[in-house]
Amino acid sequence: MINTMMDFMEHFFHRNLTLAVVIGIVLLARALLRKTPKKYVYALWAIVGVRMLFALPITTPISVAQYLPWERTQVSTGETLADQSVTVQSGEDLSVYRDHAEKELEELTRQESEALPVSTAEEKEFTPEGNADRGELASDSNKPVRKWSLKEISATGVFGLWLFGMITILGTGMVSYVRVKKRVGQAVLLQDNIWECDDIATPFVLGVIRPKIYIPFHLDEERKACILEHEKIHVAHGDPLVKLVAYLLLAIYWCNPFAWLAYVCFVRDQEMRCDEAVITRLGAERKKCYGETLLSFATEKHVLGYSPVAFGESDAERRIKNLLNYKKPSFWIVIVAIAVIVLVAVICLTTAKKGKQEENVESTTQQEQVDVKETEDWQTRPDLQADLDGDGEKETVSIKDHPSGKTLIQASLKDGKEIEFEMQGAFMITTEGVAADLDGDGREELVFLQSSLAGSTYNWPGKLTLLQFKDGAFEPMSDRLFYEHTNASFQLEGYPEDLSKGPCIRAKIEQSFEHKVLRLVYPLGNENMVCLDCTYVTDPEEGWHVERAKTYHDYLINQTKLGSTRLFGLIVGNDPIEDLNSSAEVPGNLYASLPEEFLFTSGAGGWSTTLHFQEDGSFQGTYRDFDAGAGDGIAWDVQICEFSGKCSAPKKINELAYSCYVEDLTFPETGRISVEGDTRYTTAQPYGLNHVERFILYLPGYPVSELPNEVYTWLNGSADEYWERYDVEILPFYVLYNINGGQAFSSPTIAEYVSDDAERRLHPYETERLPKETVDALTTKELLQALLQSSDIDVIYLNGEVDSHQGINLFRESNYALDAFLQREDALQAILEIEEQEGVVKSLRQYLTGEDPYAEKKEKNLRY
Amino acid sequence: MMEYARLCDSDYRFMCIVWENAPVNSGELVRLCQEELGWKKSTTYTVIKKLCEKGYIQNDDATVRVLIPKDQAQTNESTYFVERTFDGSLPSFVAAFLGGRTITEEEAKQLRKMIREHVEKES
Repeated sequence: MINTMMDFMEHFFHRNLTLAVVIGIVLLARALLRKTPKKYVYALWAIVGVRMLFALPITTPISVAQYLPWERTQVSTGETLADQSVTVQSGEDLSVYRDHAEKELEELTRQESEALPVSTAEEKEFTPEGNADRGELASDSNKPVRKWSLKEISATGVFGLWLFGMITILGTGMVSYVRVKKRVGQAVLLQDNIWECDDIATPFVLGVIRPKIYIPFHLDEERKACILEHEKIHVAHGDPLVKLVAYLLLAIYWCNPFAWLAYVCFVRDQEMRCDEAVITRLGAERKKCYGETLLSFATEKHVLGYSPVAFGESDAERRIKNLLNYKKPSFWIVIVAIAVIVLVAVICLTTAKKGKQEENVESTTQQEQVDVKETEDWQTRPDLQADLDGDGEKETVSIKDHPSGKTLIQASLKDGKEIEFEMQGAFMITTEGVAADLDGDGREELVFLQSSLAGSTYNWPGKLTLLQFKDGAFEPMSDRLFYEHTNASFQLEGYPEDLSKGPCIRAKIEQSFEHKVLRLVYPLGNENMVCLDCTYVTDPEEGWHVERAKTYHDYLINQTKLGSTRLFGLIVGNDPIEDLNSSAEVPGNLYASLPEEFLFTSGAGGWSTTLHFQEDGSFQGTYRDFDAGAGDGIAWDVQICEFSGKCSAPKKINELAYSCYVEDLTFPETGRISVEGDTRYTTAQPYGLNHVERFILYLPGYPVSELPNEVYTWLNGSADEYWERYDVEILPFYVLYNINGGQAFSSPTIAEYVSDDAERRLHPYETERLPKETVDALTTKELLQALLQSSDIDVIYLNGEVDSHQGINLFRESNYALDAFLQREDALQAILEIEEQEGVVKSLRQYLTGEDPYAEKKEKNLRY
Repeated sequence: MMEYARLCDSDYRFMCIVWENAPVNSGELVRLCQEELGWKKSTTYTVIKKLCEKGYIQNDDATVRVLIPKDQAQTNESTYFVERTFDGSLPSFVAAFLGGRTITEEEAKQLRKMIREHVEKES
């Protein structure tokens, strides 16, 4: 609602500016015509009144709108924007909207990225509550909450102020009316609608529907006649009603000082025109008498004169002067006056031309000559390459947006011919375009997404336009407006909104980091399905609809139902529509080349998630979280989740990064408890795959500085020594990033972390690099020292395995030095000889002696 | 002399109707006021009440009766006027009223008669 209000205020502000100019022009004309009868000047005010309400839908070259930058658009305010025909009215300054929209979009994007749940080691989003057996992921309650910006607050304040002013003025008018009405309560009817009344200083007319004339008692006949004539003419002209309308307009435009000026002048002109009419009626010889009558009623109180429904007599001096100068105008004066009025009317009431030279402008779907003069206003979008005519060669398609809401699509064909298409869209800018052969006729169609300038936050429609090349020109295949249904999706016009009622197409616009993607949701029966890069078919009736989309059938059903607060966009560039079932389009098979295991852990807290890929992109994994038991026979409380899923064909982002979609994520029903020995297992949701939809895979060598913040945070947590110790610029391992959850897996073999040179530089005894012979040559004590100096030894804790025995077991498999040490007979002795007895040393000691590393903890009943 | 409550013009017009028709049923009075003055019922009742308070009429059992007859009211008014404007001086008033006019024979006769009567009363 705040948004509509702000739009209204912008609109209103520009209106006021225009009005100021218009009133200025009218005042000029009024000065010009000051020697002419006041009825011409009076007519000028009608122009102002009309302009306050609307502008005529006629374009002329002399319209005042020509010179007012905010008026030069073709937007029809309040009309249905699906109407393609050119409804010419002065619109608003789009650049204001665009700036506004961009800021809003920035704001929203920023808030969305902030709102992504970045978990720390302590946070766990999944609770082992029982959910549906498909294991729905927890619903995303992290909708970004928009705080009101300063702009919005001040806009509300100004709006309130305006409203208050308007109400005050209306109130004052009403109060004034009521008071006057009271005073004339006891008036006595003279005749017709003329009443005599006590205690009134001047005669006046009161009332709009059935105006009554009130005069004082005991007026002499002369004065009576003049006054009555005057008031009768007021009534006959319908002045009470006109004045009331003017007053209402003043109440609306009260903040515009020009409006007050106009009102005051209008009231005076109305009176003077009436005076002139009286004299015309009674004859010029009565001027003196009438003038004296006016004088006799001249009062200090002007209020009555300007109040909305009563006509008092004021401005006597001015009016008398006017009367004295008044004479019947000559024929030529009349002509000139009428000409001036017509001219002013045309200038002020019409709107600016589009800028085209020809008069017969047809609406939209024609090939039009673009006015060269306008080129500097056009904003160019990235070109598309599309094979429009199906000859195997791609043509270049350029896209240009104009602030007035036009979008121009141009292409040069092989034979040198240029074709164009102009799209109209109020407040639209073209965000993206993509070319693809949608209907299988061998020629590529163009799909354009136009979003509202105001962005998604304003709930304005967006537009999807499909163009095909036919008979030598662009032809729209379909042009659908869509309205924002929720923040997540757009509903295409013409299709039912209720998904359960039948097929409908919703376009979801996604925008994330590097990618922009178009998704269409196409439901089958009662299920939603989200399609990526769908193949479309044209239907003679429906336009176009999705044909192939089965790949994402199952998984995303639930996801779509939950809805997402993200925005989606159209694919940028020339990516051909992929065959959804095809495997990786990268040389070789990406999935096959991935390391065995990806690990998601924090390095503390006793939990970890592992994930293994198969060649075909499917994966399995386990999430485990160890906690010390609460007692009652349970030593360990373990959250566990065995999951599996499949990744779609990876899509290349750049040489070192790929993205893929996750589907078919399955895991057993959560909350199921089973006990084995002293360990209680509770099934849980897979931590690390929160809300997962897409992965980004970063290959080794990817620059660390380009990694998303969340990725860096996680990597830091699980390998902080590594990051701290080395100035790492490129990734030495793979990272699998769950975008929605903000969680990052890394390929865990620690040995891969360390680059050869760094190791050798800092740790001559880094046991990994020590050749076997060297290890064997060292004394046990020396070997132990070497081990302890190596940072790798900490890996026994790094796996997240609480039991350091297991860690040691694991590590010694790959680390010859550790293995060799532990086999030495005097290993334990060497351990006991060194002074430290904590940390790794303690763990090694316990390992060698077979001591239970948790004896202490169990006694104290601490959670590890 | 009792407090003189002046009548404004519309009050006076109303009283004229009352003087002509009293005693008169209030409903009938309303009708008359509507006809001759164009007043709504509520207006008439308001004025009835006002003039009751001023002591000109009384309203009992929906009947309006006159308390101050017309000639009395006229006398009050003129006395008040002469007091205020001519400091109570009748000759000044007459002079002002005549103000360069001539009176007809008929008017002169009436005047003489009045003066005679008035003087006789005093003595």
